[in-house]
Amino acid sequence: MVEVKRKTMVLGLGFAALVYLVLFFYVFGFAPMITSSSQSKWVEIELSKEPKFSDTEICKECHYQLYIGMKNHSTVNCEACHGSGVEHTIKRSSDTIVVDKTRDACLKCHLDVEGRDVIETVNETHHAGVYCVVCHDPHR
Amino acid sequence: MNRRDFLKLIAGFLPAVALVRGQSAVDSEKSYVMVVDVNKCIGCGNCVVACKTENDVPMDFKLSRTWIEGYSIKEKIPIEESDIRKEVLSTSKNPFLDKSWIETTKGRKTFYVPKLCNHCANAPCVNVCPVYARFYTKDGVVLVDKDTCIGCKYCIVACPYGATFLHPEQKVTDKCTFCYHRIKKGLKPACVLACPTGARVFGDISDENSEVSKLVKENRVAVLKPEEGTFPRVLYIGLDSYVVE
Amino acid sequence: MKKIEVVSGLTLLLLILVGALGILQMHTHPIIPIEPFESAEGIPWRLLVALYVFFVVSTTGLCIIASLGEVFGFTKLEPIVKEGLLMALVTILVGLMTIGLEIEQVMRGYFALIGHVNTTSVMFWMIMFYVLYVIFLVVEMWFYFYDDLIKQREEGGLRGLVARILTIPKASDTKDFAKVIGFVTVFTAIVAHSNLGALFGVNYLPFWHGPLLPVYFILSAIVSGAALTVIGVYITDYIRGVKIEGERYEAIQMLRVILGFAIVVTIFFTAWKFVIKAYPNSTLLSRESVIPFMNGEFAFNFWIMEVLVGLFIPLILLAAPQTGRKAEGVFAASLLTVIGIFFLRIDLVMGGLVLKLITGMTFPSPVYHPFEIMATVGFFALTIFLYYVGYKLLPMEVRE
Repeated sequence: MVEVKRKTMVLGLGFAALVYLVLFFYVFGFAPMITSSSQSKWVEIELSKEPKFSDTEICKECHYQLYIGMKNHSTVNCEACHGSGVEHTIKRSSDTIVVDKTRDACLKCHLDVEGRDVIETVNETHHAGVYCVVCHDPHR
Repeated sequence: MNRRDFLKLIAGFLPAVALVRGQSAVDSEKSYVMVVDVNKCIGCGNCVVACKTENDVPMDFKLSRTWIEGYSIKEKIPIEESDIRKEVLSTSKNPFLDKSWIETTKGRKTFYVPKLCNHCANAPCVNVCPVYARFYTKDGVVLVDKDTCIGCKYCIVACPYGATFLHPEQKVTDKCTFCYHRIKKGLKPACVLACPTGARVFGDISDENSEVSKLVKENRVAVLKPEEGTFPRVLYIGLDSYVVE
Repeated sequence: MKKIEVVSGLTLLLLILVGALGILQMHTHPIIPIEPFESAEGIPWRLLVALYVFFVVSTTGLCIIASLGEVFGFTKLEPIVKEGLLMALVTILVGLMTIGLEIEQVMRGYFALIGHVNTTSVMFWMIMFYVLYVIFLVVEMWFYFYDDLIKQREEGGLRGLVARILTIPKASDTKDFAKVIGFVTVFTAIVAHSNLGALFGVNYLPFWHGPLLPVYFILSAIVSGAALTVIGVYITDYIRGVKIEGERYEAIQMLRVILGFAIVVTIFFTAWKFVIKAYPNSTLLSRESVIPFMNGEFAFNFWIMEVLVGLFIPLILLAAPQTGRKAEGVFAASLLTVIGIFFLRIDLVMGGLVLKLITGMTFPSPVYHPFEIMATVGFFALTIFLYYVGYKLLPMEVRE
């Protein structure tokens, strides 16, 4: 480095060291307090969110007949086909629950694409154009 | 400051500690894990729809917190790119209902792999977030502090599994939270609830009597990308070696 | 002011306005409806991040070159130190502005500095060190210009006002103090810059992973610093109507040597990086990651812009005495190098992300969205404008 007076060198490096020290104390001492408080605040916000799906046990309370009659679809959650049931448990009207009777609602799972060995599948030519629920009761 | 902050101050000066910040197992009560059985997944996409409904992700958005990858493979050694067909379902419209998937998969080995955030114990996204918006909870779940996230997208780049994405409306990054607001109330995550075949099972692996512990004990389980050293919490039964990520 | 200055000033302001409009549109239209750019949704780091990397590499390089003249005793480079320092300041300010406007939550950008801190995040350390670098650079420039500012106090108008605000008549050893701070500045710049390299290097993506990138970035900084210094000096003297000769000519010749040598090392680095990644023994992902550059969608960017325009043609121009001995030849080589380096940044950031699986969205080709291009143009115009304003206000010209 070019020749400078010792006093200038000390002043300059001292200034630099001071700035660095302020940074490190800020980073390791002061800042972690802010991050941990914002994180615990977020956990509270996260926990206060309302669930939109309930449990099958709640459906059982009103729709007991349908519930105990299920054989093949008994392992399928009601809300998997009927959508979110939270509003329905409050308003209890037919417009607050999804009732999809179209073929696509059934073929979504039961179409005979490869790789579906664990369930019964059906080809889409099987009575094409007719709703599946005309012959097959999904709650059985 | 309390003792924890003071210890953090001291620990901060030790670079070795600062560099390997995995989640400490010392003070955790539970250790949540999801076990996914690939043999049972039929690719119906109920989990994607349920997750988007539960967690405010727009339905018509291309990305989702959880998604399904369909693999159709013609086994050959060495395998070529044309022998593997991979499709992704992450919207509410099921692409597996379209003709081209049905045509391609006829007669080939086909399976569906549900994927989600692995909530890694040594999560790359937690390590790289500049504002510490991603953090571990005591039970192993990795959460995104959306009030702090500045949207720099470093976590999206760093995640080896592609599990995180930019939320189009909130303009911060988003990812699966294991439905933290549900599991803390004793409910199951939305995707677990919606799965018709029971391919997804969620529970506490530190509890010996839980279903996940039993499944792990009785089956050979694998994780995605073990070589990255992320220690993921999503365990797969029946994972094929062609699922490289 | 001369008429040409007014016209070019207005043009620059117009381009800056275009850039501001581009940024505004980017932030208010997230779902990009234009057909080929829809896949841009899945790519986290696009043109603006590449632009940020370009600016930040430039500033480090400019600081290194200026420090060679000021701090490390390369007396031949002393005449160009002032331009180098001013350019370094302008590029880091615009670079920080670029990344501040690229993040999704612009209003929360200060979080990375105040309060929310993650000590394991390389990006955080990079931001911190660059802020320190700005502080040290400003202090260094203040003290380096001090003696000339004192002489400028006498002048009238805005120049004199600036000089009177920034100085007190009695001060000594300011140039030496500037040199000491200059050493600290270049040290901080190199630390911050290698943090930027590490930011890419810690990722699992095969194109980025490993300890090579921090070193490669410093090398690339030297290339771009030397090239940009030549461009700045040449254009400045051209606009002043002064022919480059004497000390400035010697400085440009020294920069020619530095640039030539750095380009040779870069060619060596780049060649071996790609050969090793493409070798059959490398992992499958490594080999796949270089396919886009060899004969894929990034091939034009790589072979034509980065290698031919950015490395080989400048090297020939610099080495050949017919072109290299003239200041114009060195300027042309530097201009081509800078263009090549810009495409190198795009290749590094976007090309590295090609293998990125984001729930099945991979993108094969570089996607430049029109809003991003507008923003890029605006940022370049802003750099030139700020350099011009700085040049007018500060005592830049060497007193004969």
